[in-house]
Amino acid sequence: MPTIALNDSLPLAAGDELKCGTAVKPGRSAETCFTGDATPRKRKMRSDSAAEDNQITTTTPPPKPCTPTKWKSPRRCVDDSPISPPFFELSEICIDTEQLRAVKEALHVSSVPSMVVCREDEQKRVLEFCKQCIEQEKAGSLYVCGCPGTGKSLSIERVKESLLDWAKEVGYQPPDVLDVNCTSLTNAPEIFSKILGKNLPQKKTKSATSPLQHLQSLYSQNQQSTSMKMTLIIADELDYLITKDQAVLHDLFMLTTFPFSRCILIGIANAIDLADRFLPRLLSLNCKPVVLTFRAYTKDQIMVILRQRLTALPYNVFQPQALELCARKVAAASGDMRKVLCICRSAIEMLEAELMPSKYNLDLLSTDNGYSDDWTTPAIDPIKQEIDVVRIDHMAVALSKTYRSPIVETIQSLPQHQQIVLCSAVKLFRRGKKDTTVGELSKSYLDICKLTVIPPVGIMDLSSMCRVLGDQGLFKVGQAREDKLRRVTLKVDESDIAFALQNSGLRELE
Amino acid sequence: MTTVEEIVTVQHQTDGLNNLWTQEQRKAWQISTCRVLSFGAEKIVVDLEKKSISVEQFIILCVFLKELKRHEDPQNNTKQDKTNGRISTLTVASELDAKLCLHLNSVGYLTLFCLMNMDMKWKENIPTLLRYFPPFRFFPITVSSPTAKKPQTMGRQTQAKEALILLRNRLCNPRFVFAPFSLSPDSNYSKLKFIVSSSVTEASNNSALLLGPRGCGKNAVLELVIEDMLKEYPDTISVIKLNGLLHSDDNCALKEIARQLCMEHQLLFSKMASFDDNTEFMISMLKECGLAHKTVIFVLDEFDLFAQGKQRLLYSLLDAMQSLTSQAVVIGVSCRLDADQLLEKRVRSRFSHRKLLFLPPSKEDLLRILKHILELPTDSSLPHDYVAEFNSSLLNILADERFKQVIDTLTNSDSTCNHLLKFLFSAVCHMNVETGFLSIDNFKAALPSIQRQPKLECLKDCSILELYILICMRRLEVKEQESYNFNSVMKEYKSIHDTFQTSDYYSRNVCLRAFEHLLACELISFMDHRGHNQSIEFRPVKLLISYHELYQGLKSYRSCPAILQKLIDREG
Repeated sequence: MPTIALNDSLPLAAGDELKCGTAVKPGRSAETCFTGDATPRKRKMRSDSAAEDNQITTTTPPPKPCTPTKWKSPRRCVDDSPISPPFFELSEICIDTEQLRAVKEALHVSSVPSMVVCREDEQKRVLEFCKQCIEQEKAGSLYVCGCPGTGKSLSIERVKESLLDWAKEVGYQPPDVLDVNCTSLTNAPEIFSKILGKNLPQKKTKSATSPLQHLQSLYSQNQQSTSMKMTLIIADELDYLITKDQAVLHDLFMLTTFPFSRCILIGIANAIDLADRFLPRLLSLNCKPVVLTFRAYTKDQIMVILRQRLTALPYNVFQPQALELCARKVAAASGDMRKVLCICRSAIEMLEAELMPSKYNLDLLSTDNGYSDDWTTPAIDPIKQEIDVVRIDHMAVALSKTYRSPIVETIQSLPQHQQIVLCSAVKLFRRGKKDTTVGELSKSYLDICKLTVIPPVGIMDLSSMCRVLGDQGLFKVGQAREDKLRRVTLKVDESDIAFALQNSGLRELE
Repeated sequence: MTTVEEIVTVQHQTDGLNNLWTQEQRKAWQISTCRVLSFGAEKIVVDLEKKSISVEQFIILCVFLKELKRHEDPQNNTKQDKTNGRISTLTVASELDAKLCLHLNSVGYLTLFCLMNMDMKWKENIPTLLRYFPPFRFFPITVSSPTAKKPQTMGRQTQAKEALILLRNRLCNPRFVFAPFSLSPDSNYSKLKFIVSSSVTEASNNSALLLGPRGCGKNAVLELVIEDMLKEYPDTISVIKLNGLLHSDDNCALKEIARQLCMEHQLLFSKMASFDDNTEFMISMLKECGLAHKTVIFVLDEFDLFAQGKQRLLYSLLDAMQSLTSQAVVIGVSCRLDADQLLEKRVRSRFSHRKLLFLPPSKEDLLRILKHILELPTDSSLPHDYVAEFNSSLLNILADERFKQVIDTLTNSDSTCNHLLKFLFSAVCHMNVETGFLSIDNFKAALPSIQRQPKLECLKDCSILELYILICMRRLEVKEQESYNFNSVMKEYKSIHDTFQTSDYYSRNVCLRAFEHLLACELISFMDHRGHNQSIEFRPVKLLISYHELYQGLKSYRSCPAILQKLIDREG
């Protein structure tokens, strides 16, 4: 028994963790199965007092023995401290928080859903395109565009997998796959050496010819290329390849037009008209890439995706209306799925925080008591609570947190004199000016000070206040030899300032 | 006063150190010769004899002092080399000075006392300096002639000194200052801790932005959280710190990440690795750390500066957050409120939109902080009755209307925590050691040293005749006389004398002496740099002091003649 207890309490060495971690890896996907041992939420909340906890280990009852196999993840061990109160293990509240955690994990951006819904058409089109290319052994280019967070990279990833499966099934030689994220390239032409490396892994590139020239010659000669496999090139964030003369992008797409070219190029980027804008020459040669647009998710699609992510879990944490609110809001603004997931997570956190106060008060209590005896008292009875769900108000708060700009709040909390400076700037710019200098601003500032009978600060303090405001992005303060001559421009909306200051007594704006 | 009394003046040998400087640097150095009065492990006292000193010169000075320090402890050699390498770039461009200062910060803590004559240009630069020198505190100190040390007879005095040390220690310890915030659940501390700890325990990725004006404790709270997390989960957290001022260049930032990762995991760092290699290394390290359930916390200070150019670094960092294998938190710290709007669309989409806003403390919070900092603890080594008496007198002060006024004037122009701490430090230093208690006068005395108006202080030292000259010049300007010189000022002076029949009239020579003094004080200056060969009387001059300042200065002048008051009132 004591050895097991010891085992639980010991922090794992790095090596052990590595082993455990690899063993546990599959469990971290969306369908994570949660084991029965519910780590009491309580432990986490008391975490800031871990140091003190350790001192009283001796006085606490030994932890309930648990079989080592129960610890599925080493993280649990980290989580748990040697003094986890045994009577907490199966209380309802723990299961609740545990469930919430599972939902949160399912909704995390990094957990890849088992299947990509709402993008079936697009996936089919890409797959058909690739199949066609492979069947006819001819090159082709495809440009995938769409706003961020609309599932482009994810869908293409799926297509890649199913294409390889299909090739194996049908008996075609599976193509080589080169997956490049163009942000990771030091300079744009490097992509050619990557392609070349994929095509001819065994050969060293000759120093005389550039990789591009090598590729071009490779694709224009018949005898060499017949023996070659097809290559699927997936270039994510294609717009990073844009150079001044657009040569790289152009050459890349031109590769697919060579008579014996063997590459299928799939470019992914945000701009809808990248091909039209940057590849006019391709257009004239009539070998423009096929363009596939990923539209921003609609409200219904967002709902479907969310439901699909949540169906893996046997319980429901969201009010349907809450989900709909989130879907509608985001669909109206950007249709960004990442944002949806993020907002949902933060709504859950809101709920978690709501469930927490009982524990928090307890924490305060125990800090006052110096952690002497609260573990033995029944004061910490788990409050049996109904399993709460994320309501519409949680979601509304989460949404406003994400979309709200901190500007109004900041202006309201600015010191009085800085508020006056903002007011005087607004006043100056009302007269139709675009910018002013610190010296002129100071005059306007002194006027307002006189009106409001507030003793003004000196010019130096004023200019340092301007700098503070400039640091925060409320002003733009230019460079000048003398402080008084610095140019000042307002960077926020007048109405924002007026709204923020409407109750502050600086009414002379009106 | 006390701080200066403790300083022992020691002439330091600077000759040998001059060899460290290249020719250019020495040139820059010679513009501002200064005398190192004393230096020890904690503080270096420098006498700036030259009146004005530019920011660059000041930084060179700091580096110089750093050099001095290096000769003291040779352990810091490796880090110092970097500073050395940067000196040469410093003199070329003044933008680089920020980088240099940051190096200084990371190398060591240096408290710098500058004893200098009153000088305006210098003071104008202080806000700039403060931005780059977070650990530096500038406390203008008035130097009194060293008094003979009184024999220490009373216990009260030693107690007071002990209390003083305690208070000063507290003021310099962000951990203590921000402790009261950490308890409440809505505080930024708890929110940030929740984000970080949920990432550690749930093996998820996260990102957050800490926004707020400078001096509101963004970094202090972050440090607190990280410290706590390191204590709580030792061996599972590694922290990578980047600063936008140093690493805004993607290449350099990734190199730095790779270097710090290597340091954390005892790997060999290769300086030759390319951008590509470093990106790959970072991503594979993140994967490796994710497998080992180690959380990597990236702290990006001055986040807005990373959002320039193509934002490759942010993209690759945040894109790594999208994968299941990594386990990391990206925390951006910025004072730009629109920092997340600066991000590119795709980078913004990958960012989690969590923003924590740090605001200056409200009035109630301010009082709470004041009480928290200034109240002496009952369980210290100090005698109980002294502590009780001290605290009760403090409570009286805090409740006093006059004290509230002082705090209001302080917070009306700048209400950030840092500003308050600076003020309190200066107030605590004014504490009378003999009585052993803080008094309201201490706070009042500290206020002008924080909100200084050097020109007004200059005016206080002027003679009546000099004031006359200033007013004459003001009158000339009101008359819209484009350019005037000493002779026209004398004419104006004469006319005032004639119209108002003033009792005192000084001769031209005396006036010229006063005029020269004004020039030296930089209350007035020549219009241009031409005509050096002309004598002072004929060169055109201008006022460097505004009407408002002149008015205020005259109002606060001890024994201002009524006629001057009348004249200045009329000009307005």
